[in-house]
Amino acid sequence: MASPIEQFQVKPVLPFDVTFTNSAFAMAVAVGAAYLLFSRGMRDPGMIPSRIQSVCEMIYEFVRGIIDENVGREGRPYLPVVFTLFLFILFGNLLGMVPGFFTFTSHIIVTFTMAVVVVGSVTLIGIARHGTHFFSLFAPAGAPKFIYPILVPIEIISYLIRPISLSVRLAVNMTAGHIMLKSFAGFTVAMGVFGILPLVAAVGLTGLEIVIAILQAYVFTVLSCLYLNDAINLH
Amino acid sequence: MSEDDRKPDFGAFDARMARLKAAETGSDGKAGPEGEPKAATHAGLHIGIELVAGVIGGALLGYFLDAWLDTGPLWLIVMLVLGSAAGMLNAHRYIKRLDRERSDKSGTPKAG
Repeated sequence: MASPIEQFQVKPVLPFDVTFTNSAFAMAVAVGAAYLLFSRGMRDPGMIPSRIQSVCEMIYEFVRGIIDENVGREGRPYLPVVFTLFLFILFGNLLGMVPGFFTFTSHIIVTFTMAVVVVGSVTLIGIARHGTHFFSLFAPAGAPKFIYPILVPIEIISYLIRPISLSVRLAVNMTAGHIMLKSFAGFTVAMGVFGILPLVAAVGLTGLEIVIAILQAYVFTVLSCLYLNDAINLH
Repeated sequence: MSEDDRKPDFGAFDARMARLKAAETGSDGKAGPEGEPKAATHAGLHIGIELVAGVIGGALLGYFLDAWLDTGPLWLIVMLVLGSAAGMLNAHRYIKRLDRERSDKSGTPKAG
């Protein structure tokens, strides 16, 4: 029989490690910040929007514009997920610009997971909408039949590498920018009086990095919408 | 802030805005003087990543196919070549899209 006090022993229930890391903390903060912005902005919506409400509406209309432009009206049902994706990346990128804060979008595994979810669900949407006709995406119209054995594998691989290019693009941009900022900040300390030069450069780079943070969130969203467009309209 | 010292501010702002607008449409009617190289850097990075992703994706696919089917370097070589081709295909599509967007914006459709 087991010891009567064994029931009070603390031990892990899951077979894998689920430590709450700084990366997970940054994601939680990003989600919390996005939630806070929108719950405050839309708490008391008026015809004449308050400043915070008009920020929320601008972001909403911006994302809706991306969908309308790249997918069309049929893409509207997918607005919630695209909107969430955009906000999550945008807040991740922008919070990364706060000194000392962790930039989770600089990690390929994070961006790759998002990209795989996007491409995977887009594929499922395409199959659900068009059935086996969806696979005509891999056989471009107008090509002569005899080059299909080469063309179709290339098309399939070009579809499969979408999550790689999508995730690498975001992660590389964020990593490179933050390494550059950190290097210039390091020069500022190391160069003493002449550190004013890299300091000026770092100030300029900070502005550029904020632009890139927003731009990359936009690019990720636009490409997701283009993939969605492929699945819905089949070119 | 009283009304008096706001008026000259707006006048100066209007003048500056008019000057900037003139400078913007003066060059090529599209982006500002520094907008073009930044967009070009972005496009170049996009194309580069697309090409590299093709090679990496093809290599990974081939490697795991080989590990699964135990077929030596066969699939690695095949997939590396096909992956490079797929990367170029994606880059080509991106360039075509960029071209289309550019001709849409300037209103003068390009040949090809």
